[in-house]
Amino acid sequence: MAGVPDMTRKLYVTILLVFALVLLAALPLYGSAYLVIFVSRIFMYVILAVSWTMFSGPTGNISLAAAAFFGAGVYTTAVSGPSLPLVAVAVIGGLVSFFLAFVVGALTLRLKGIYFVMFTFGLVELMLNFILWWEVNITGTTGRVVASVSNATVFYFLLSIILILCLVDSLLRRSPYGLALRALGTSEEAAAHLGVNVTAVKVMVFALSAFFMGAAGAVMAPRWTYIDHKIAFNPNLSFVPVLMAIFGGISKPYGPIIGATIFTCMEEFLITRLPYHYMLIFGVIMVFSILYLPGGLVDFVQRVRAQLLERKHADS
Amino acid sequence: MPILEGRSVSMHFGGLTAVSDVNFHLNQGEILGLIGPNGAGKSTLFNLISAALTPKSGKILFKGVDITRSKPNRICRMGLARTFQNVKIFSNLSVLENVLVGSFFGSSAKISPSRAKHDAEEALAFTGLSAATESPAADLTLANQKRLEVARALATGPQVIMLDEIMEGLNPSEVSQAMDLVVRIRDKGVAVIMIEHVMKAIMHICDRVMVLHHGVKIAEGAPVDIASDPTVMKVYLGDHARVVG
Repeated sequence: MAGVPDMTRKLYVTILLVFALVLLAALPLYGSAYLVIFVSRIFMYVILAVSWTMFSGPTGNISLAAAAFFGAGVYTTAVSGPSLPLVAVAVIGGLVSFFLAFVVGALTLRLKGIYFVMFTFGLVELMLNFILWWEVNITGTTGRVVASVSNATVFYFLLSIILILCLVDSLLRRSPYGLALRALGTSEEAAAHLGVNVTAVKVMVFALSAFFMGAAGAVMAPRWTYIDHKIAFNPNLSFVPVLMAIFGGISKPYGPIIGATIFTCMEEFLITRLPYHYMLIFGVIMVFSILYLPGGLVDFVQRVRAQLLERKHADS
Repeated sequence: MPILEGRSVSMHFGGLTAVSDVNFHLNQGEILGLIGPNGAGKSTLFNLISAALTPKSGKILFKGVDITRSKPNRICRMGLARTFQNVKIFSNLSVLENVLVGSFFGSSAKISPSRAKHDAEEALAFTGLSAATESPAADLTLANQKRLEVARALATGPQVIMLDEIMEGLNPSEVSQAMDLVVRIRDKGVAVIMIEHVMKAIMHICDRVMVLHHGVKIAEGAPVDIASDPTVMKVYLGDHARVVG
């Protein structure tokens, strides 16, 4: 690797990425319906894991609110129904989550450590029960039918969200605000005394990450055709993306993407091939990766590569 | 008019009085030393000035503006920077990135990335850290971490800088370098308040010294006068202390 000049290597990676992207984008043209649905599922998790990492990675504030923001997006689609085009629904769903996160963030981002974690998870339960109460007492219904949309449409919408998300994420990382976010992750006090408006930066990025979660929920809603409070605010969607991001490694921007992809594939394989041992094997893998891969897969691969290089140098 | 002024500032935590009715002022182009035994309330006073804490009573004025109930980030942007006794560098960032946080966010004016980088590099050169620009901040020695704290504060473009024991734990040659640094900061036109236990530094570079004991200001004046002040000697050395030689 060291022999290849940096520029050439970057060019290769770019070409490879574009090629893979074209291949992926054309999937609905040649892939089976099953494959399109499966890859859409991966996309959904990629969006949740990457947007979770956007805020929680640098700040170290573990948010378990993903399901609340995702669910807010799902309900936006369910309520607005087929009257609006999906693009509009996705944007509105994102905005609903953005404002929800903005209000919640302004109120709670002063909380530290475990208190913040518990509160964000409480938000999921709060939303779930609020919707239930609303439906029972106000509208007198349970659940809603969602107009279905073709698999390919969902697929392309999710892919577009991922591309925009990656763009926003990389812009944020390069901006002064990305720097401030990493700084305040180590010491909020020092950051504040250097002129950083800690609360404002945290709330804005928290809300920004919620936007993408909400948009993903709005786009995924038609996949279920029928939704209720339990489907929309599934607590698993708060935990799984966090595990995926940590499993992949949050030190690099592509870590959560790799984590979400491998995790979803693993889950699918275990459920279909080993339905009786699925949870057991899954648990064992999780325990091992937490014990032996504290920096995630990305970090593990880097360490192995560094060791191999060192051995090569020692030999020559 | 002094650039920074405190009028009967008081602070207590529950029943413990940390700072009691303290008046102070800092003039432009001055180095003011703040000394006192452990627990005298020196760091609390720093926290009150930098708005990490809000005083229970009293007023703090910076450039004539009341900043008593302001926020740390606002105070920094107004031109009042500080360092921390227990270094609070961003250990996950590089040395340059640490300083960039200060140059990007520390001034009220919008700043371009190239300008911010220029300011940061200047602050690093000023504090003698140019060679370590790209290294991870966590790898620095204690002396350099303390310098980084100063560089970061300077990058915010302050008119007043508060240095909280930047010489603590340094060896004699590092102490003289730090003393030289403080003098150069003053000569740049930045007024300095420093908390310090290294008496050699206080005596040599301070224009004026203020002594706190149990949260009360017990003496104030030129370093030579403070050194022979009977109250100060009693506080530091006990009842039977005499001036020798």
